[in-house]
Amino acid sequence: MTALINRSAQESVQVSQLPGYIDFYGFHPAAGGLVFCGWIPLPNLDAPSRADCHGTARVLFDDGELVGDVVLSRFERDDLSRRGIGVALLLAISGRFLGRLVAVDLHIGATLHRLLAVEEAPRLREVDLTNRLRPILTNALRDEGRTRLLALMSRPGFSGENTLDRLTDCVMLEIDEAILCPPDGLVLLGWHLAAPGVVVATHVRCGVNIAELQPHDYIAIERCDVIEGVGEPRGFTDVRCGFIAFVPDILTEDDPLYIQVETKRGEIGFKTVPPRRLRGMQAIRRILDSVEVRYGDVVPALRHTIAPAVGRLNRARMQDRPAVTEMAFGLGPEVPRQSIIVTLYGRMDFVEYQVGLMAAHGWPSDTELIYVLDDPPKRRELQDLAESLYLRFGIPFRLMLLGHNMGFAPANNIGLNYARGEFICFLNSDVFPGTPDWFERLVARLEADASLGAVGPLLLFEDGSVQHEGMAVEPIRALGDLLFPLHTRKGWRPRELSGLVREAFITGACMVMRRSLAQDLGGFDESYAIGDFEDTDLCLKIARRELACAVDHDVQLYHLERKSQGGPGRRWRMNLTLYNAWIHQCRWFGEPEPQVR
Amino acid sequence: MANLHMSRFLKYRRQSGVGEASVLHSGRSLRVLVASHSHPQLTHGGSEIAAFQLFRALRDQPGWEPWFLGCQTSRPGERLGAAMTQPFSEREFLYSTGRFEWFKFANRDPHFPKAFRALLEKLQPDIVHFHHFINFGVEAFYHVRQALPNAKIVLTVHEYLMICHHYGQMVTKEHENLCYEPSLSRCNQCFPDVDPTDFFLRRLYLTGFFKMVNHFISPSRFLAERLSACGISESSISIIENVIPASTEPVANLRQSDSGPLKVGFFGQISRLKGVNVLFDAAKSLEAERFDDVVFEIHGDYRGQPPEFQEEFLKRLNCMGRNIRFHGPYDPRHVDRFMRQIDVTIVPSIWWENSPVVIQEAFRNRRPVICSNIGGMAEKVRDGQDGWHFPVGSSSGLIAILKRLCQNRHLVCRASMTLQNPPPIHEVLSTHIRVFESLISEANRNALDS
Repeated sequence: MTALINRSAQESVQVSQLPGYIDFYGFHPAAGGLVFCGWIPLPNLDAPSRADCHGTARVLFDDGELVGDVVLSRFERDDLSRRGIGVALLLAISGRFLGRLVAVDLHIGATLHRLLAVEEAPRLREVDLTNRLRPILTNALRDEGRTRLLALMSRPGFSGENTLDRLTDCVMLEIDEAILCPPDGLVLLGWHLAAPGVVVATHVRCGVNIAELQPHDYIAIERCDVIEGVGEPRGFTDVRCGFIAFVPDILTEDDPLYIQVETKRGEIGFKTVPPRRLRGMQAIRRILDSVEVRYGDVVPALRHTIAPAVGRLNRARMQDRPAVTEMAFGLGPEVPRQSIIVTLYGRMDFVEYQVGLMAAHGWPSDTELIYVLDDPPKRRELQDLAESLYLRFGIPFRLMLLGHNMGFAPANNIGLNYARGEFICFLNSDVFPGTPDWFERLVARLEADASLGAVGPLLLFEDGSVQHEGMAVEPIRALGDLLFPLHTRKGWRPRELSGLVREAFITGACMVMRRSLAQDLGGFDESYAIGDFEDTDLCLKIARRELACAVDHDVQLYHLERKSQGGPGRRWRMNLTLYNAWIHQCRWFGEPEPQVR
Repeated sequence: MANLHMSRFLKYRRQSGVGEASVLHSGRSLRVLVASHSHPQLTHGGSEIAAFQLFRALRDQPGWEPWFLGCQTSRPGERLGAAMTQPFSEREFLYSTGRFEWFKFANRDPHFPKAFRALLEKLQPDIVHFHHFINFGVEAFYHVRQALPNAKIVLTVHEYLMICHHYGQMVTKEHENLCYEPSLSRCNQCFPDVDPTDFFLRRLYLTGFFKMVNHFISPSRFLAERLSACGISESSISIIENVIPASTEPVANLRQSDSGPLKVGFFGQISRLKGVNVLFDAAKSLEAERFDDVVFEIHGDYRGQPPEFQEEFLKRLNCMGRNIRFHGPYDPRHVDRFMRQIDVTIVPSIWWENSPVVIQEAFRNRRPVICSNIGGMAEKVRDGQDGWHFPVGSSSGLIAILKRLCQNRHLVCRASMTLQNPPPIHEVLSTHIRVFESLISEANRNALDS
C-alpha cells in the first residue's frame, strides 16, 4: 500500500498508494488558517503519536497551490468500517482560494498522503465550519492535535481594539508607519518589546490574508528612544528593538489590517495598524531612511525587505507616467543630426552655465537641445531662466516639463522619445564643455567605427584631475560585497593618452549613441530607482549586442559629479544605491551570497 | 609719458598703430561705443567718470565718432519696458537694468539682449569699449560677437571682480586680510556656503566670455598682473591710466609753512576697506600723546556702507579729538578746491586698490600722497618722490611718517615739486586710439589675408 520515494539524499518519504478525500473546507479567521475535513485510509495513521499531530501540507487548486504548517486531529468514522479514519486539518496560511480545490498533499511524519477533493466539496463560512467541526472535534481522539484545534477555533476574533495590554505577560508593540507596497504588500516600521520566549507567534492579518512575522525576516533597528522612554522602566535593555519588515500579498481593499500576537500561555492580543499614508518616493525615502546596514547585514536586508518593498513601490511609480508639457524656445533644426538630452533635478542655474558655455564655444546648427525637468517645483524658475537664456544666446531648445518626479532613467527616456537626431547624447546637467566641438567629435567616432555602441569623453573634475575615463565593477565588502561600478583612476592627473580607448563601462553622465540603438535597447532601464547603475546596465546591454563602449581622450568635458543633485549625502540615498546595486547584480551577475553576519 | 606704464604689448602697438588713422578711416569715421556700468549724471564713481571722459575726448577728436552707453540701476523699468533710453543727449544712451545674477555676472534681464543688439546694429561701432561688465553681464560680449562679428571688444577693468567674489577686492571676507592668490579652496574658505565647484564654474563661465574680448586695458600694472595670472594673455593687456580731466585753474606747488598743523586730507568713499579706521587709530594715538601738529580733514560719504559700519564710524567719530575734522560728502567737481586746502593727501586703504582716482587728483593739485604700501597705491605713488608709503593697516607706521613730515616740513614741499603729473587727457586718449586702431588694422589685415 505504500512505496518509498527519494525526496533527497538524506530523507526518504513513504507515499500512500490509496488516496483519501476532502469532504468540506473553508477559511477560519479566528483559527487563522484553512480548515479541511475528510478522511484517509488506514492503517496509515493507526499509531498516533505526538509527532503525528503536526506536519506540512500543500494545497492544490486549479490555479495554484499553497503550502503551510498543519495541525491534525483524527476522529473515528463509522461509515468507513475501520478502513479509514477521519481527519481535520488546519493550515496556518492565508485564506486565498486559487480556483477550484483539487487535492491536499499531507506530509505527516514520514508519510505523504494525497486527499482528493470530492466533487462539489463545499467551501464553508466561519460559522458553518465551526458548527460542523466542533462536534467532530469534541469526539475526536484526545491528543494534542484535538486540543490545539479546539483552542484555535475558540480564539477571540479581532474587534478593532488594541488588546495587547490585556495579556498576562508584558508585550509592547507599536507600528510607527505602515506603507502600502502596491499592489498588496506592506512595510511595517515599529518596535517590539517582550521578554524572551513570551511571544510564540506574531501574525499580520487582513481579511483572509495571514502572514507570520519571522524575526529572521526583520531588519532590526536601534531604538534608544524606546528603551529610554518605555523600555528601561520595565526592564528591557535591548536597543535593537526596532524593526522594519516587509509582508507580501497581505492587504485587501476593505478589511481591517492588524497584528495578532500569541503568547506562550496561548493568549491572543491584537494591535491595530495605522493607515497607509505614504506613497511613491515619500514611501521609498521613509523606508530607506530607517535602516543602516553594512557587511553581512546588507544582503539579507535587501533580499527580504528592501528589494521587494522598494521594487514594488518603484514599479508603481513607473507605471504612473507623468504628464509632459513641452515648451519650445526658438525653432530648432528641421531635421536635426544630433540631439542632446539633459535631465534637470535640483539646481537650475547649471542650465545657465551649460547653455552659456555651449554658446561661447559655438553652437552647431544641426543639433537639438532637450531639457527634461524632473523637478516640478522648479518649473517656474526654469521657465524664467529659459526665456532669458534664449534671448541671450539664441540657441533653440525645448523644455519637457514632467508632471511629477520620475528619476534619471525615465526622465532621460522621455527625452529620448522626443529626440529626433540620428545621434543622441545623454548629458548630465553638471557636465560642462571643455572642448568646443565635443559632440561632433564623439559622433564622428561612432560614424567611423561600426563596432562601437556608445562613446563618451574624458571627464575632468574642476581641478583638472580625472573624474571619468571608464569604469570597472568591483565588490565592496562593507556594502555586502555587492558589485559597484568604480571610475578607474578617479582623482588622478589625466594620462598622456589620445584617441579612443575601449572600456567595459562608460558613464551615463555624457554618453553618445545612435538614437536607433538607444531606442532598441529601451533607453535606460527604469528598474533602477532615481538614478544609479542605469549606465552600466546599458553598457552591458550594448555588450550583449557585441558592440563596444569607449572613451575618447581627445574630447574633454568637466563633470562636477553629484553636484546636480544638491545637498549632502543622506542615508536614504545611500540605501537607494544599495537597492540599485542589488537589482544590477541580480540581473547581470547573479544574486550574491550573504556574508557571515 | 613718465607716469604712463607701457607694457611689452604696447611696443607692438606703437609699431603698427599710431598714424594709421587716415588709412583706417578710408573716408569714414571710426565708431566707438563706450559702455559703462553707470553714468556720471547718476553716480560719481571713478570708473564711470573715466569712461565718460574718454567718450568726451573722443567726441572732440576728428575722425572718431563715439557714443556713450551708461546704466541706471535705481529705477529699473521706469520707461515701461524700454530698456534703452536717451535722457541726456543724442549720443548718450542709458540702459535701465533688470534681473542680474551677481555671482557670475549673468544678465538675466529679458529686455537687454534685444535692445542691446538693436543698438549695436543701429550704431555699427567698430569698437565696443566696456568699462566694467557689471550691469551689462559678461554675455554682452557674446551679443557684440553675434550682432557685429567684425567689431572689436575692448574691456577696461577697474577692480578684481572676475577674480574675487568678495566685491572684487581680494580681501578675505571675515578678517579682511589681504588675499594674494585666489583659489577654489581659498574662495570657499571666504564663502563656506559656496562650494569650490561653484567657484570653478564661475571661472569657467567668465573665461568663456572673456575670450571674446579682443583687448583688455588695466589702469595699473598690479591689476594687469592679476589678470595675466588668471589666464589672460599678457599680449592682450595694455596698462593705461584712467582719463583724468585737467584742472580748470592753474596750480602752484606747496610753499613751505612751519606755522599750523600738517593738514592731512582724506577724500572719497568712507569705508572699512578704505582704511578709515587706520586713520582714526593714528589720530587717537597722536591725541593721546598730545601731539597736535597733525589734523585730519575727512571729505567723503559713509552713507552707502552697511548699517553696522555706519554705526561704528559715527561712534568713533564722536569720540575723536580735535585732530579729526569731518566735512561730509563733496561734489567731485569741487575736489580741487578742497585739496588745495590741505598739505598732503592720504590713501590708507587696507585693500589693494587699482588706480585710485584720488591719487591722480592729488597729483593734479600737486599734493603729495601718503598711502598704504600695497597694490595699485604703491605702484602709482613713488615712495619719496610722489609721497610716502607706510605698512598697510599700520597706524604706528603712519604716525611715524606724519611725525617725520611735521619735523621736516620741507619734505612735503619738495615732494610737491617732484611728484609726477597725471597723464594729460590727450596722451591717454592717444594711447587708447593706438589700441583701437591697432585692433582695427589687425582685423583689416586678417580680412585681406583671408
